[in-house]
Amino acid sequence: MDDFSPPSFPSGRRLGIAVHVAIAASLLLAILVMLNYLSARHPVRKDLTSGDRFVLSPLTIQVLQNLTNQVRITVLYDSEVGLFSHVDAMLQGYRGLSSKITLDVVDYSLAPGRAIQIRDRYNLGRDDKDLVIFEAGKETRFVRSSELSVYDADVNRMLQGGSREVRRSAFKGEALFTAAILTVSQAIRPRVCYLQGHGEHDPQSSDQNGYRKFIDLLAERNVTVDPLTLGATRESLPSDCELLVIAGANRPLEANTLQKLGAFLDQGGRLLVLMNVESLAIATGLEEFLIRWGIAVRPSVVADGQQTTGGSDVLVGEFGAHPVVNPLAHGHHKVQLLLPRTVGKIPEKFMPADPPKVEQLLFTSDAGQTKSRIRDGSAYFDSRIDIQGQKIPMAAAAEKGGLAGVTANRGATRIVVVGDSFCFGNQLIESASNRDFAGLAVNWLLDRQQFLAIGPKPIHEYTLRLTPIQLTILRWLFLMVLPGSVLLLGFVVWLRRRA
Amino acid sequence: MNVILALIRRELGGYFKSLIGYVVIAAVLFLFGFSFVDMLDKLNGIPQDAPVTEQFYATVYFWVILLITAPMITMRAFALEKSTGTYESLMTAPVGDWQVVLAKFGGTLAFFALVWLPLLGCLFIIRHFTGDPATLDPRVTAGTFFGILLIGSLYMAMGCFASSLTRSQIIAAMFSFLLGVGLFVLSLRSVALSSSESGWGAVLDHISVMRHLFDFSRGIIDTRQVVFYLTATAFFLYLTQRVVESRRWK
Repeated sequence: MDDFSPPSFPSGRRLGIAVHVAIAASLLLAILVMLNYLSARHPVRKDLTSGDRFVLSPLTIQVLQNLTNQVRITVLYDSEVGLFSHVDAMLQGYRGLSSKITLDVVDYSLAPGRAIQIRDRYNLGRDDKDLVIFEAGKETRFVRSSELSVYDADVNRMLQGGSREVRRSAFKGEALFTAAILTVSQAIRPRVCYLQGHGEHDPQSSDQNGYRKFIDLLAERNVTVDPLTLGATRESLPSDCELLVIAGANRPLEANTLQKLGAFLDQGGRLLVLMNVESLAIATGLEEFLIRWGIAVRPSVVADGQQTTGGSDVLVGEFGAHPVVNPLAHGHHKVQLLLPRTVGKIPEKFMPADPPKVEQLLFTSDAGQTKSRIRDGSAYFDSRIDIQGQKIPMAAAAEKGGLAGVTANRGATRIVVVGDSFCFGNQLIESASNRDFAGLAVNWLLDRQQFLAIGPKPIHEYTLRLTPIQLTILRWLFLMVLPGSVLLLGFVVWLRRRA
Repeated sequence: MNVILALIRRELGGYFKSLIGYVVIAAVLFLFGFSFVDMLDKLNGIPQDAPVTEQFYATVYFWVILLITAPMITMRAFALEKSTGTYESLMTAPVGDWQVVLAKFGGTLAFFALVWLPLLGCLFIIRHFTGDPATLDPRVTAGTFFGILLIGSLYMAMGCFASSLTRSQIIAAMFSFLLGVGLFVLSLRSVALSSSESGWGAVLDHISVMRHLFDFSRGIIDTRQVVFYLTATAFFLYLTQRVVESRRWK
């Protein structure tokens, strides 16, 4: 660098001034670094988007502010992949709200070395990508990109033979991320028991009617799932069992099993019952058992001529008002049931003393119909006893406050009964919003309200649809007209100044 | 204040009295146009989670434009005055060193803002052709331009510092380019380092201009980033002022 003025000070004086300047600059730098440190410790993020796309819900804020464990979040994503922008922006907001959160964003296409390290660390396969890893202590939870979207298939249009275009309509990241943080930071894992021995779905099977995916869904929610057989030798359900699942029993439950089940519920136990068409001709004992809890499981199959894809299924779009289905109703989602049984609330006059609070969850459209005559394995409409042309319930939830001195540890008894068990099988759980429905039911039963209240955020999908002519106009405008006119203006100014 | 405004006006006038200002704006407009045409060709008909108007900032085009225009704008701030001999008369005028530095910085920043203003026109044109009002969210666009102005202020301050060190515009431009690219490369380096495991990773993450722009373009204003740009700009302006002042004791 050159000097503008000739030297005028002795070298010692100049050196002194230079040292003074260097010290002053260092001090200023230190102050500025401290300011940056303070701002990094106490960040504030303001979301300017019209729909508050990245504003976190009060529940998430509460969870983050109450964190006591260090939670490490690793985002293993290709930044070019859809939704990365949402994932990143949301998790940056999480980091900003809690000093207990550390966040690493790894773009595996830009930093393959780091991606390999992360895969090795979490025992992931080479093809595992586009996921978010939550880690606290020894607990780890993965949220994959496939879980993050809510898709909006225009079902009515599809039924009419129209377009099968499926759009991404909402982003579920916040609910899943907050749930993941809660599950890894909480040391206690609730225990869920899965009843076996009465023809229930196989929890380990990967067949289309197996319940492997449902069990995985429970495990993802930091729940321990254990199979349970209630034989004559076992006196009662395990004391730490918080939820009992009975999925698709098609053989009668023994009297002592029902007795143990009753004792479990009396002590504030939680129960998820999934009935199905196979138990239509055989009374499992659950039908009578559930009457005491205000729920009627009728010996009929439900059909809906308006909301079906093949005749045997019902695409449920009508929901009751209940925490289990409120998010589905608000998001205009559908639940697909296969040959569901009628499950509703028993009439008030038949309700037991001290009745539980019962809400019906799923309904057909106004074109609902029950079929109770069984012949050759099929159900038929019987005009004498069946009903049609009205909304018919197919699931119900019951809740009854705890008994003083008896249910102190568990709180209120909660029951969810669904008229179909195939809907949570490996095949149908991926249909419509069945997975969400399963998750919502389990969360309500386990009293995890924080998992329920965070709804998905709507996403606007942008598609450019420019015609070749429009593209040509834009090319000319951008490449010739706009830069050319500025150059022309400059040339005119230059000419005038020259003149 | 009036002195500073008068000096800023003089500085801005310098760009438009010669061809340089128009050439810079036309070149930047061409680069905007080229990048948008390329993006429209690639994205036409493909559903996206973000509008084209937001995706532009994640492309390499944005950084090419920023890294090239910043030295072109700032190289003449002090170096031209020194090489043409007007620096002496400016410094002997009844204005303080800080006033000169702030005026030079203000002038370059105002021209930088003018250079980027046509981008708004490009965004409106795309919105008009797509027919989707959601393509251009006014609040997000305001946030983005606020971010561009913050990033621009740091790059202008670095450029003024580089220009104050020499009388050669070429050397000033090259030094300014080097500083700008250096900051950009550090941002790239932050991709490869863990911000939770290494202290350097956290520092690089904090100063990553790419990450900052990513947030601004999504309509997020983060105080960490605002503080970083204000403090870094202040630091380079301080250094520039000390260089300007050094003529008295050298």
